[in-house]
Amino acid sequence: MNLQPGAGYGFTSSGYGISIDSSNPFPDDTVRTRTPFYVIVLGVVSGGLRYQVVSGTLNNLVPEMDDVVSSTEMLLDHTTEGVPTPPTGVLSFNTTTKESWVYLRSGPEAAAPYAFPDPSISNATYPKVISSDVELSDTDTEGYVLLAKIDTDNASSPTVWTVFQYVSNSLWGDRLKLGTNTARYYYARI
Amino acid sequence: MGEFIGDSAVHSTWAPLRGVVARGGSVIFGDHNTTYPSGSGWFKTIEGNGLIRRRTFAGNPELFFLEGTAPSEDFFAFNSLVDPYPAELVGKTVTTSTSSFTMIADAFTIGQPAGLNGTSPITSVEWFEPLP
Repeated sequence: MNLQPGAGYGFTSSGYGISIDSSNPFPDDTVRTRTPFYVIVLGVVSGGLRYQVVSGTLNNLVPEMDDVVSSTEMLLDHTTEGVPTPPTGVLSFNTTTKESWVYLRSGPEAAAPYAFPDPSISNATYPKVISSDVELSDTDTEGYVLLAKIDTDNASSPTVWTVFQYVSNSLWGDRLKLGTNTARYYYARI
Repeated sequence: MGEFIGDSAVHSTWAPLRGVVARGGSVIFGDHNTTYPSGSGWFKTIEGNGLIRRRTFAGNPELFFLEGTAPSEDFFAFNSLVDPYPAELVGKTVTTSTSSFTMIADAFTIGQPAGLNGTSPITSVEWFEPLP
């Protein structure tokens, strides 16, 4: 019989023999096994706290995100040779509150057929995950869903951080605008 | 059987089940996106977010006013409202540019007489206001 280490357990050996190490029964999984829009903080690279977001959909569209590694925009479900290679972003922290807000931003098409969200990935109103150092409010052209908030100990060189996850499902969204009032955006999880 | 909100594009959120009151205005529709232009073609509620509940496919509640010629009275109807609005609106005031009258229960079913000398359009309905 062969025993091999797996998720949640491993082996340690010493002069007293081999023992099972189950000190981390629920290891922090990758983007493959988390719920939609789950924010994963990867750690500090080049002074910035990097993060990834598990893929989800808004009205059946997979959002995009700026990838700091390739300096391009990528869809959250980006893969390479069948292996998830999602975009990696850098969290933007408020220097006073040491908070960062991760939003799903999207807006309607500016011209007919006026779909929400804009299905054209080349437009700025296509769904996109962004990090902001301030809280954002809806406008006529863009609505924001707060996916998560990250608090840290030091905005410029974080060493400790906590993720508050607020969305864990893909979403349906609708936009309603009454006259000159700012458009309202309504979401339901699926 | 009830509808599961979020189950399909039609019942995506509760927003498709909400609307404003139509008096005859244009509207811009897109998938999951509705823009009601400013003006008195649409009436919003004075309180809350301006929206009222509606049936999924019945469209927005609609005001209908027909000028009569004496001795025939004017005619008024408030169509496609869902409960409990009809009962709550009985006794509320409707104003045209030259007259006013109160709504009775018939307004929400078969329509009601609305007095004499009314002139289109309806300019206000108690609890509602034109879109800003």
